[in-house]
Amino acid sequence: MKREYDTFVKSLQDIPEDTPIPLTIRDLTPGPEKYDSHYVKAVVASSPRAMPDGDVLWIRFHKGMHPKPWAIKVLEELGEYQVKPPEGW
Amino acid sequence: MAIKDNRQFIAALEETGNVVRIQQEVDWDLEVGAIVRRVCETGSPAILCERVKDYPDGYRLFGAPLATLRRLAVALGLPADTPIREVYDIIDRRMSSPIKPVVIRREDAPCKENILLGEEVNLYQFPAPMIHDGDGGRYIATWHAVVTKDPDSDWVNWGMYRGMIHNRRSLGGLCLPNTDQWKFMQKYWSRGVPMPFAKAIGMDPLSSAMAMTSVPAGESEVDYAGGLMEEPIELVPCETNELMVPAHSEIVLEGEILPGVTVDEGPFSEFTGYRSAPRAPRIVYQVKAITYRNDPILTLSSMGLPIHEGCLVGAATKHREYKKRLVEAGIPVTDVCIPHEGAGFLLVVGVKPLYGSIAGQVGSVLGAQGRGVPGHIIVVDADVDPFNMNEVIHALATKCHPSRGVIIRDREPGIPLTPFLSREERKWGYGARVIFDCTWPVDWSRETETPPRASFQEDFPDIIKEKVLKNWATYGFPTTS
Repeated sequence: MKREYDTFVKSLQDIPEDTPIPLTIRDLTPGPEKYDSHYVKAVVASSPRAMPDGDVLWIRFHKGMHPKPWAIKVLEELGEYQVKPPEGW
Repeated sequence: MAIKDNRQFIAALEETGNVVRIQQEVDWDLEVGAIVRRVCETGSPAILCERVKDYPDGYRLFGAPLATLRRLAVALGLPADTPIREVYDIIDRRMSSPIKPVVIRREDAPCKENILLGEEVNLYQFPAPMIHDGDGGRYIATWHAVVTKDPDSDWVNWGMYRGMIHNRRSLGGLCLPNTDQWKFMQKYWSRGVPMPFAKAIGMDPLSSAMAMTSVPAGESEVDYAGGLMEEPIELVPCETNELMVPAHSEIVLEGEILPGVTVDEGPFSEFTGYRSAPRAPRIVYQVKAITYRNDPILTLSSMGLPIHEGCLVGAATKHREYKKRLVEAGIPVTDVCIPHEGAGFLLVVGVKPLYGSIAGQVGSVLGAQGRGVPGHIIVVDADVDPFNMNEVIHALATKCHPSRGVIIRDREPGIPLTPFLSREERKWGYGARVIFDCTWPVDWSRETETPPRASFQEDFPDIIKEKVLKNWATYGFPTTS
């Protein structure tokens, strides 16, 4: 059974395919822990066919969603938090 | 009698028909947020959801607690139909006499009925809602107080800074650089240590109202909450730090705001009526303990288009602040109104223009306050009631010269979530302000240059008005019209 995740991006250019990238994903498994967030290194593909063993990744923008799901393979958890200063008000 | 906790408040709302108990199961994932949003947009009663999907019986959600003037009146212990000016006068009077809190014993504090420490902490134990579709996560803290303390003094700040669940033990949060919490945080972080915090959720309604109100630097919101309640707020010490929280809170999250790390937080549909700030790396609240009442009630506000708690409570408390500031500057103010529909970005000031450019002076005095002052200020003559939007809009349209009557102030301190600001202005805390001078110029002759208003009150002799009023019913009109 494939797991489902989503992630927020500013544009599709933020998530290059076929190369490991850091990403915050939300676990969409139904239940009381739905939307639990993970900071991971993953590879993504815009076509699920290109990554048949991948899980499902929905792409969210500030406004709206990408209409079709992508695929994702989580390579490793990068820790609980990002080492970055706060920004973006 | 003072309403001392969330549950007494719900009971008082129930007695006055201002809350709906929803018995059927509701989903924390968008359904509750949508109900509360519609409640706000239709002026409906608050909601108490008694059964929440995925959660055991007893875990409840209380939405839109203070989204109407009626509910604010009930929270103040007044009849629900108390007129707005009377409510404001009472708030003004009570806030003029702050009362220091008292500390009660842990065993007497309802919020200590259950205590989770360390590895036991699990934020998903509570039915934190996904409020709006498009929010960055589940917001457990939308109607609450974040309690923090200045490391160099006894100054304790309460602020209502949103909190989104990141994982079982962490929240992400938006904290703007012009806030007291941000300033405290910089002091701790510059010393390389995390800042202790407590998030008190589901407090009594007046403590919650004060948490979203700014008070002068160095003063604490809890004292003003006591003033509003006319009794000291009962506090109890936290389990893992030296902070104090309202003892009757439904849920208390304790922990530290970590230096040097962030989580992605937001976006979130905010009090402005827009989802204006993007998802970005933001501060981390790491939770080390949770204390909560039996059968906890999680409170939530579904921000968005007016009218919600942000517009209503903000208008009620800032009315006092702005009026006081203008009076202290010697401006002959008749009244001040922050229309709820303006989401905090519109202010109407009534004046008796005794000298030139009084509207400009209003803008200067309020602008000097630094932050949080509305970007649009309408200044009207004494014959216009600032609370009567028919009169205000008429004055704006007919008395404000589109060129000479508009005063623009750029590069003033701004509110970074303001939708009309550019990304760059938000980033650096810049704002802008426009003052619409809707007063007749003082150098115009009142006899020959300012036109008389054409109204029932002003355009007819007393004898005719008295006759019309006396005969109103016999003409065939309902007596209430």
